[in-house]
Amino acid sequence: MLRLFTLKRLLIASLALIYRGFTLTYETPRANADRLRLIDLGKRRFDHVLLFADQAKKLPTELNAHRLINFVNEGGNVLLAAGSTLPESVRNFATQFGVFFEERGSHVIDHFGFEHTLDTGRHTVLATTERATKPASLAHLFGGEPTAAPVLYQGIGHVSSANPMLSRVLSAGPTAYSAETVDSQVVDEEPAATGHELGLVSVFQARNNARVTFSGSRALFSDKYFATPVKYGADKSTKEFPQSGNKEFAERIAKWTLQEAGVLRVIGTHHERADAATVKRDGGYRVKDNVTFSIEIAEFDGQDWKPYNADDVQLEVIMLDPYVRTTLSQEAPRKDATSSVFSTTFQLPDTFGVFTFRVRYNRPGYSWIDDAREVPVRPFRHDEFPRFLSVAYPYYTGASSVMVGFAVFSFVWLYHRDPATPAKRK
Amino acid sequence: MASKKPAVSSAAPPPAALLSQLWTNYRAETGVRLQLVDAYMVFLLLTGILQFVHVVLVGTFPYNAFISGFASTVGAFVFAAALRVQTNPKNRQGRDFSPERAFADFIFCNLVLFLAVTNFIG
Repeated sequence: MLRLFTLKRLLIASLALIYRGFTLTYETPRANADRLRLIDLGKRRFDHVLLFADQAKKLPTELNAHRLINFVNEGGNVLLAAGSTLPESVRNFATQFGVFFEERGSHVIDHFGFEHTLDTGRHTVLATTERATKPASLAHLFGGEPTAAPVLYQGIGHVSSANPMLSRVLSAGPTAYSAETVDSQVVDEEPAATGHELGLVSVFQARNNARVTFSGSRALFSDKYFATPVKYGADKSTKEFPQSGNKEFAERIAKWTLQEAGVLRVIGTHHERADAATVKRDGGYRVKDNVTFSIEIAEFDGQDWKPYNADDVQLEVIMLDPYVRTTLSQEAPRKDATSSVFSTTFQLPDTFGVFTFRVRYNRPGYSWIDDAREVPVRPFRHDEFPRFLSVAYPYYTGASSVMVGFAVFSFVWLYHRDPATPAKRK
Repeated sequence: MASKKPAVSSAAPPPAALLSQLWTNYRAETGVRLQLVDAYMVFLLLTGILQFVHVVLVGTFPYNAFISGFASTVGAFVFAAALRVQTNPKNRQGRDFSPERAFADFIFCNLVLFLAVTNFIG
């Protein structure tokens, strides 16, 4: 596996990445920029791009927004760490995903939540505990313990669009705002974004499950921020922690972006008639059959595939509209299982046609699952239901008496001779 | 079903007398074949009403059976009415086909109807 790093300083411990099985390639904006190819001869050369673009004025052509989006469309993952002076191409790239970085030169400022030791007086080094709390899947992947140390952050903020594929995982505190930090630091116009609407780190997962992480701060990933003790808050209510939460948080988002966390895979699906073992019958599914459906899902934890535990996997039986929507229950895992099986038994609707058994499991943070199988469902055959019912005897009698009456009438009509008025007929 | 109504005098007779007058005139002035058709149509009408009452009381469950049974009475009734119109000597003007031709049409239409009814009833 090839990994590409473009960065001025190596910030994530590359040894740890190598230990995790990655091969690293470094590029800087200036050196050998022309030789860089993300996609070569139509094939992706790298699995991941870690783009630390907080200072470069201009990035090589290969890293412009268009090429990077192509890379994501081909399934590549991007971890983007920007800064207050991010290049325009990076800003354009983020815009395509609904992440709108604040104006060039602005910082997120928080006069009540800044970190005391690292801050230089401008209150741009934030300590924030505003991590994702909902939905549960995001909280599980990115949220820390309630008592976890705050994450230190210095850089640019962003606002994000309401794209369901985009999730905020780190926000600014309620008293933060975004403004330029030039000169006297007098804010004479209303900040573009304040408080919780100001995003610090957002994650995006495309339809092809490629992942893009947007951080407005490169310092968040630095050794200095990893190791520092934290003291933050306004004068009277300062809180102290022996170590910042940066290491833990950075590891979470790095693992997520590098497809080492929150990765789901469908091993397979299976469906059959519920009574298939006892009743032999040809011809597939028939209307109102009971069907047992099961899907096998595994979760990657960075090293191995493990059973995925959930109680909200749902199956839809669709023919234009969903006729059945039912929740699958997780079966008791086998010993040493590397996946978990979700299954249910349901009754097919009283409608024949080609149905789709579809499991669409979209939980922010986890790989999108969309598994669809087309299944034909036939009506009863002519010999599979009784033709003549006792309740319908009155109608049978009615119809047959009409026929008999018709026969008698025709007979009488044909053989009747009108002796009294023979001339009237002819 | 009466082919001719009696002249009504200015002093209205009692209804029973009217009806008996009607009946007498009908019997006297309607051809036997037409009376035969009328009897057949009454029979079809009663059969249809019986089935309809049954479906109202019991329910529509074998709906196709009900439709077949009921449609057979309605269809046969319509064909009988057509036969009656076409064979009534009072309707001869402007018509250039014989009562035999009308009867053949009647037979053919009924057979087609019964084919459909038989197929749909089960």
